[in-house]
Amino acid sequence: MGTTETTIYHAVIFASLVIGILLTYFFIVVIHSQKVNVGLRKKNVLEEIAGLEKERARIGADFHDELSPLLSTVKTRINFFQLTNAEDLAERQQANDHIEEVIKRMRQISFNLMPNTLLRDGLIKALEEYVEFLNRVHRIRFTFTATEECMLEESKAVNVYRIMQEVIHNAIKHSKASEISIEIRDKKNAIDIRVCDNGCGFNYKKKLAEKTGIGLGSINNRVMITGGKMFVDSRPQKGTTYIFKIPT
Amino acid sequence: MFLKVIFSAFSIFIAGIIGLIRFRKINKMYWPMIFVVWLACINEIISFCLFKNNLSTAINNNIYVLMEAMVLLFLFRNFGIFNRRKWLFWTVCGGLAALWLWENFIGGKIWCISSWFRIVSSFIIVLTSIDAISKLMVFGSQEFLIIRGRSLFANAAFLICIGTIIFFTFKLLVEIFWFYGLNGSEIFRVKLYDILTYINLLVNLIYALAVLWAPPKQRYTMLSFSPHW
Ligand SMILES: Nc1ncnc2c1ncn2[C@@H]1O[C@H](COP(=O)(O)OP(=O)(O)O)[C@@H](O)[C@H]1O
Ligand SMILES: [Mg+2]
Repeated sequence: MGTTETTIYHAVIFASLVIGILLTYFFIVVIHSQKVNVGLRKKNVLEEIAGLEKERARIGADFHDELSPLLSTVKTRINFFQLTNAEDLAERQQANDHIEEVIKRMRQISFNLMPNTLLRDGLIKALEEYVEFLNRVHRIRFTFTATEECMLEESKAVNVYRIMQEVIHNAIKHSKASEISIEIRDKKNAIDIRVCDNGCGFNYKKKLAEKTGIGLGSINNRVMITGGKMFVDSRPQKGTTYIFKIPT
Repeated sequence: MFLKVIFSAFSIFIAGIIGLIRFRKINKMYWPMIFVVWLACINEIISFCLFKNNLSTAINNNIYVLMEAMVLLFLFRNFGIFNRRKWLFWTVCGGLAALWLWENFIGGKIWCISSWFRIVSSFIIVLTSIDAISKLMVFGSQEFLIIRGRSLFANAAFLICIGTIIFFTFKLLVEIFWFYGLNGSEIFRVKLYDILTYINLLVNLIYALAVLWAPPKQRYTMLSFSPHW
């Protein structure tokens, strides 16, 4: 190489080096900000869900602790009258029945809002109770199996419970299934949950992208903040299977 | 050819005039951008006069690049790039100033173009611009006081970063060639300057847009300063 060529060669090497460093820096920055972004989103979702749960617990408690006793008082009061007229008695009986019904519905609603069992006896007991209730009120056959007690901290347990609620609710509402099974297994440092229905199935990716409802998105968010993973397998006429792996 | 150069150099005056009109309305955070534009305008005028009288434009250009780099760094500091790293900002500024002094006085080369300073300062400005763009993407418009939902091309911070990245990357390359003494060949130099002319024109127009879209003052800061006497 001549002297000019050598100089050009050196200049090109130097220039490439500098451009290379700039590009590398650019990629590092992009990857880093991607991480920051995910962290921020996670934080937002966490705050949102924490607020939501707090609010639900409060409303549930208000229902349970304030309205229920009030209604019971009303019931006692109207039974206090000394009625003789048969018509009046029948009327009162009706009122009694209505109040009974309202109290029952309110218990259900407050249970849905924040099941006491979940906080008191843990996830498995709460789900057991939930499934028992579902079996009573729906035609669908629910089965629930779980290996002994799994240890999840409270906030995670609430999230898992909400996930289950939404998955089961979706299956009831959309799948036209006749059987829904829920299975929980305790692994070494995670729990595996499998929920199957034998309904009509759906295109999960498409529905999630379409954002037809907020349910699927909320399931995703909650799985994310527990640090777990989820798999969905859904085929037309074969039903839907969800698998969750939640780290303990 | 000569006309083209004039046109490219003086296109910065578009930004300069917009800046003059909008200066009082613009948020202080963005003032350094306007100072940079004005500095460029002044430098173009001085260069033009010197050039007309067949004098060297090296000195004023050497001073200009120092001021430009400092003011741009200030702008990026306003963007919060050196957040929690104040020492870094002052180290970079101090380092650049020291390099400039060394090259121009100790090296005794104030009469020629100072390559080292240009290479290093361009490099640093490109790095900071990359940082600023990524910050803009992550934290959105909030910290840059920019109206949400607007296109990126009506986003002053984004435009400034794109402008500085394009301009200083190219400048960096040219300076590296100069540094190796490759400006000996007349044709090579003219050709490179030709490219630089177009890039300069493009970047000046980007700056003009940036000044046009620079966000206004925030009202509430005015309210909280209302005097009570
Ligand atoms: N188990 C399921 N079987 C069939 N389709 C389902 C099932 N779960 C969800 N889908 C479909 O996915 C859609 C989105 O569900 P979701 O986000 O929970 O919204 P929503 O329940 O309010 O409609 C539903 O409208 C339904 O079409
Ligand atoms: Mg739903």
